[in-house]
Amino acid sequence: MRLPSSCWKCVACAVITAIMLSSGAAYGQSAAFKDNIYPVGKLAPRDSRPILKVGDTAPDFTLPSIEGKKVSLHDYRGMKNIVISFVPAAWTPVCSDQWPGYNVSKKLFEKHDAILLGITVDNIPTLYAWTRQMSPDKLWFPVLSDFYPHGAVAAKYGILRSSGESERALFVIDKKGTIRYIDIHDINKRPRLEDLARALELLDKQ
Amino acid sequence: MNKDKRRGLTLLIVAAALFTFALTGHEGTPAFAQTVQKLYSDTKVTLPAFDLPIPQDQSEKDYLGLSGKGTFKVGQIKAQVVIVEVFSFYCPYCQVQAPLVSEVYQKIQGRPDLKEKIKMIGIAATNSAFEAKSFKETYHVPFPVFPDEEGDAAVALGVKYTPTFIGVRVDGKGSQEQFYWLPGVFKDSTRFLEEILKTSGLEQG
Repeated sequence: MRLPSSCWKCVACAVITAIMLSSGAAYGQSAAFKDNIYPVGKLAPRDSRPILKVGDTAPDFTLPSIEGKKVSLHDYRGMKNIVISFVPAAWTPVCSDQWPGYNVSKKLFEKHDAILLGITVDNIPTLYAWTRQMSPDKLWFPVLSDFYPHGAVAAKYGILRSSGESERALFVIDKKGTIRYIDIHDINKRPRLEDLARALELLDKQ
Repeated sequence: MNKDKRRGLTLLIVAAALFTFALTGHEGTPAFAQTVQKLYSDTKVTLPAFDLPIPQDQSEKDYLGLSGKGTFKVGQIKAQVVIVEVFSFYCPYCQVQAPLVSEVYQKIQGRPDLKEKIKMIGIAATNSAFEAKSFKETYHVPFPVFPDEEGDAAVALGVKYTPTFIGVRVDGKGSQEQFYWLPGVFKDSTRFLEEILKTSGLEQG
């Protein structure tokens, strides 16, 4: 077969691309989790009805942490700004790459006198095993389980999906307990760090 | 068989290797890395082309031997070998690996016979500029880092997992020949550099 040189390259590249795509591979995922991530495919970006808005008082809750403690939102009232990061589920693609970024951004949170609370609907042993994959040391922020009654806190925040997972959502709450920022994100995408950084900067202008 | 056909066939062989890699899911094992490495060093594979923005920072421009504005390709970097690290701010292994990668850079800079020959760049796959900068600042990454927010470069390169290290032979005029591919981490910066020197042909094994 006689083809111009560019065609040969095109054919080869097309074959490579087709193979890579057919394997269902996502690109640039962390090798830390590689064979342990459940492929969820593309999901409906959002699957819940928002019930909270900026300016509302954040609903209080108490949840168990992977450290074996109980953590309540009111523990921080008057002392710390709070960022709540709900992620849909352990061992899924985007979630597994979100908290490791926050784990190396402690200074950003400290700069705005904020604490981070990470919440999923998974049970404690699952969260323990999963977060241990994120860092050789433990994460600097509390990881809380909204497992039982299932997704109760996610439901209070209006972000429980019909499948039982939560949305991928960020809530920024000031020291008075008022919600200052809400990002109910497309579940398939990771929120950009700078958007959260800007939301934290808003707190300083209070 | 002419040269171009041969090149096309080489790419097809690589495609077959990638197919195996997709099927087995053992892409991170050393055995696999060696297979790919060997395949790449025995055959001439052109690094897929993608554009990167010319850095604004003058010291980074000087390091890469670039000038002006706009974009550049890996093959235009003034060096004989470029080590490309595809990483992510959000990737725990990349975070742990960062000090070792900096060690590689320091070892190269510490050798007068190598510092003009080997240059390093980082491509922050699916990271925004802010995220790439955060990584660079957190880990004091000493070489230029480029955000690849849409993952275009990662897709062009076929990088499935971060970090991935790619060795590229360049001539500063545009030729960019991939000779090394390590999907995953290395444990020893000296051995990693030795591998680069041997597989690139800069030093005889």
